[in-house]
Amino acid sequence: MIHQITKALDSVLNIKSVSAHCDVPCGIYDPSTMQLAALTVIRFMDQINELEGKELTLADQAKLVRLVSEKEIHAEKVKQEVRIVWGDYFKAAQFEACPGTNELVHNIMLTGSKCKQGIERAAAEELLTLVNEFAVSFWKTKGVDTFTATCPYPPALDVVYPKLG
Amino acid sequence: MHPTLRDGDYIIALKYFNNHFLVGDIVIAAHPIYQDIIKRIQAIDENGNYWLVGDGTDTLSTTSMGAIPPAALRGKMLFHIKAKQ
Repeated sequence: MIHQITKALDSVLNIKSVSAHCDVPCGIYDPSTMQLAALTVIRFMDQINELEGKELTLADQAKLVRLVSEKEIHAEKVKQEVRIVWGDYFKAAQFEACPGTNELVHNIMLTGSKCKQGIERAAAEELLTLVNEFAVSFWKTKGVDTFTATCPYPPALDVVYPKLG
Repeated sequence: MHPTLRDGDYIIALKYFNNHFLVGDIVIAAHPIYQDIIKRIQAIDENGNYWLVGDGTDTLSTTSMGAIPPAALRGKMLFHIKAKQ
């Protein structure tokens, strides 16, 4: 009751806010990191698949090990970057503006794991699609319009970019 | 400041003319990096500066906040209005 009255007064008087800073929020969030990581997963899968049917030299085998390792690291990076934005940046107002975010994030987690486990390009393309959807939602919460363009480097796939400036 | 203070709570704070803040008081401080923060006084050093701490486990560390000069303390919490959980 007292809180409700105070809240009503706050809407009129604009009572000053203070923060307890129970974490160290830098406030810097950008989906580009997760998009680059998703593109990297696709690129590494392509390079892995190029080795199909080839008689692998020792150098090829060393390359394969590196590609697989990095592919899994970047799939995990996608998951990590999405978790940070979802966990630290998204609050009630953002969830309200972007209903379905929780389901989208969960799908990204599952698809990211699938990309770690296998070398199916379709899974990695799906990961990029989901991450692009997440980017659209993120920029929407910032009031920034987006557009889709083909990234000017391999794997040359559609990426969502913010319309800045 | 969990569990003492939570998002959406209101407090009434008062600044005494003689800066009479004590260890254990919850105070509002104007911090050069973190802006206006609310923390508990953990200690007062020999120079009269205040060292703050949060009640939560994942609070900013006392050393990261540094010594707070008396002039930076905006007030002491006198009354706490909890938000409905």
